Amino acid sequence: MSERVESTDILDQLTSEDYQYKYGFESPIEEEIVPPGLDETIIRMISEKKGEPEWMLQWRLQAFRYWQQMKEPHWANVRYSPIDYQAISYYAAPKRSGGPKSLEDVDPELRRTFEKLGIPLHEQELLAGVAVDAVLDSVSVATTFREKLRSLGIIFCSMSEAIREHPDLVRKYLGTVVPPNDNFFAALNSAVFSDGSFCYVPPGVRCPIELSTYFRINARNTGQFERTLIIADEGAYVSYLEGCTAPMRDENQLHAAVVELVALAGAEIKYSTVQNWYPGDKEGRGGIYNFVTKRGVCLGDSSKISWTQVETGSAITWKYPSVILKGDNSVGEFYSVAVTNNRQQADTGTKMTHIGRNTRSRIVSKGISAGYSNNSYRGLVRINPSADGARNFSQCDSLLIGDKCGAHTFPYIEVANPTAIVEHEATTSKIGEDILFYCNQRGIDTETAVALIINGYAREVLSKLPLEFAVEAQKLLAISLEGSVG
Amino acid sequence: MTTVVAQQHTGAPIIERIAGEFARQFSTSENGQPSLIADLRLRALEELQRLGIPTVRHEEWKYTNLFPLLAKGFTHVVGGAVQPSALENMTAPLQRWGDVVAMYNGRFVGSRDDGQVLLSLASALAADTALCARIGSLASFDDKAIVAWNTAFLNDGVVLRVPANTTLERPIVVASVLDAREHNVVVHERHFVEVGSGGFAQLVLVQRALGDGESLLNQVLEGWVGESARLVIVVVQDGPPRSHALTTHTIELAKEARVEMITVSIGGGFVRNMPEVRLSGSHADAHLYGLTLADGTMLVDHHTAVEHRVPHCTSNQLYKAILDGRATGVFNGKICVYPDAQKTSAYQANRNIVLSRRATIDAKPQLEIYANDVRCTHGCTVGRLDDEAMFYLRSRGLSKAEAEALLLTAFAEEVTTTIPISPVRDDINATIEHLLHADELA
Repeated sequence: MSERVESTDILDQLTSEDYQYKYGFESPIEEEIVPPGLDETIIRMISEKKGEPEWMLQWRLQAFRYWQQMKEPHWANVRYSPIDYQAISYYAAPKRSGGPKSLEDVDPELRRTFEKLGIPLHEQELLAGVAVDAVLDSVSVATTFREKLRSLGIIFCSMSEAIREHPDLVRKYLGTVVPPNDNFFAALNSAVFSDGSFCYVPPGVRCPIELSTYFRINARNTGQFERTLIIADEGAYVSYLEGCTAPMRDENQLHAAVVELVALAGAEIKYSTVQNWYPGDKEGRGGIYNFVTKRGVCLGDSSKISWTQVETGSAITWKYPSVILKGDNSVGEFYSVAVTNNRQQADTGTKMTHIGRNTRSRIVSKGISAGYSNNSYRGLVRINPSADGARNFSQCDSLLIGDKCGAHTFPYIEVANPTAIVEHEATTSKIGEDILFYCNQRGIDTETAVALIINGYAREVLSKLPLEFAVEAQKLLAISLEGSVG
Repeated sequence: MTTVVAQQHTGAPIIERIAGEFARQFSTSENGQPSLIADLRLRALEELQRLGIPTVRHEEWKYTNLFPLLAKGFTHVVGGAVQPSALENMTAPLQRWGDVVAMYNGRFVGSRDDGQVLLSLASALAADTALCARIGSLASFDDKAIVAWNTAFLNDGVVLRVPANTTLERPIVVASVLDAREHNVVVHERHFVEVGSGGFAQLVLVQRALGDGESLLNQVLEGWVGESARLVIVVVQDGPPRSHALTTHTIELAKEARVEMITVSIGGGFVRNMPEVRLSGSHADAHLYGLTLADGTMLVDHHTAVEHRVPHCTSNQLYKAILDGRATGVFNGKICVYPDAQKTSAYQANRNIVLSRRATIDAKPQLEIYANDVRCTHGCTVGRLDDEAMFYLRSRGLSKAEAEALLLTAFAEEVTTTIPISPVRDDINATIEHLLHADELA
């Protein structure tokens, strides 16, 4: 019965003619923004503002030098007007003195913002069972649930705090998975990243709650460059959620994040994303350019990294969460639902690099394109000569709604080991008329039927999401496709 | 920035050599060919100079590095004197496949030119300005360095024109003989095929090497298949490791036309095939099949492109590879469905078996779809022989080698059974069985 209520709920939102991007508000928070442009002075300024040690500054400057040598990649199947990197402000932070000691220190306006977003930032909402690190524009504003996690030895804090308080861990792992010279956007991020989340789970600890970060771009003409680093020590387990929103604007904003995951022997990291950046309006004005580098490494034997993503927002998505399967018997997983509507463009997928023996990977990608959008899956499965007994299964399905959209598949398969087994399959089709007819005939109107079918189509991925997110993701799916059925 | 400079450095001397060769061949005499062609050649050379030799940084050449091949140093040759008996010896065994036309170093030889159905391109171009205008209209050299290279050195080839409602009883076998007795040679061939509506033709393209030098064939074929017509093309690549090939076979299908293209790459050194089919009339039907059997340091690259331009067309692709030794197999299969090409049904399968630790396979099946009412699927597998099948055969008393040979032969023959010309199919199957040691089975 509750399911039924749920779906009519979606329907109401679906049928409302002009559904507004729900998170399009702008918070009138006093912010401290550095002038637009990027040079060494800006980087020094960011580093100084954050009170960083010298090694961190040198690391940033090195990354900046790499970035200057690099060219923006254009191989992805997306089109956009050139980005002026000197017109972006690389640092915006809510004004305050010192870091937040407790929730009372957090600007009330800011707290209201997060309330609007439905983030259980308050300790009262502990029952929601989610520890949140919220990142507004560039700076981490508050982290909840600290005490409980600390008692287990879990470190969950903002990146800047980690640099100050756990420099040994940060120095040991930062940039080991995504080196500063990995690609253009990763280099840019390494140079200017302002904050992000840091998480370390000690050996044998199973993190009892879902950790979560909420990203929001608030200020105008700023880019968001956050950096996340998660380390699961031997035998540890952690599940991490990430959500993103941004105000509605006519101009495009840049989001270039880097996420690094490190799983030591026997550890497991589950990383879930519901990405709902502002996608631009129906004519494709505005929206976020989402150029993100996410990579995990299964460093130890029998470790596991699992990426789950629901991508509904952003004007342009360029994102390939990947796993390097280095330890023997390690497992990599990638589950993705990417929805594009109107003029959105998405080029997303994964990379699975098999190095260790008996490594396994599984890729399930579901693309849905509607309106005038283009949705591409681009994935790489690489089996190195050392990866005896490696196994991969990939499945990418695309669903087309409307005759003006495009769905594309670019899987790259590179095998250099005779004992490996790699399977890839892809299909592209529209919603079958027979299925629609079946629903209609049972009294379900077309719009509901489509929502139903899409839900079923994406279920394999949605079921991998933690419960809190699964409900939100289902609604998002329906909302993103609003008005595309007809 | 630095990489771009390095790129130009590696390709520039080769392009320079090619341009020098071009000047030597075409400035002195125009061989009596119309200026339209001279102009085309010049434009093609300019495009080649603009593009340079594609490096592995070029998406279409990501897995196939041309530089080690081109570093061998090839001399451009056209025709030349050859003893008829030498040619006869090479082509005689092919007689059982069909009517043989020999191309000697890219020059049409023999007396098969009947002025009607089968002609030499050089003589056809001299007589027919309409044909001149059509050359290159299908196999455009824009952004395609290899086609540009071929077009710049466009000289001769086979013109096959099948009149409407005519069936050619015997297949036409084009034997490209490359004479590398004196030095390493590169030969450019340009073929032109037109099957009138309701017509039927079968074409076998085979390459033969003469001498101990290295030989490279750059072959471009443009083919139009008319309404309800059918064209079969069998490409047989079974040469020694010193014979290399770059082929671009571009076919356009009219309404209800059908093409079957079977490429068997079981020999040679460096082989890159770029079949391209455009389905431009409704209910056109394309079938592309390929088999790679590679050992040693062979590199075989099948780079297909199927373009569904109009509604109600079907296409089917099956490419299989068995890789041993240090061989490299590449498969890049692109299916492109144009906007409004509704009711398209496209299927593509790529299956690979890797037998050796040093062999590699790189596959990139690719779908680009701009219409919604379509059914497109592709599947790609890489693996080893099925353990259960092996066990089944072993339990029935077959040795490991025998069981392997049997399974591999069965795997390969799924492709060769699609060859509709039985003598060709039988000969190829025999060769495959020999290569896989299946003929030694009791």
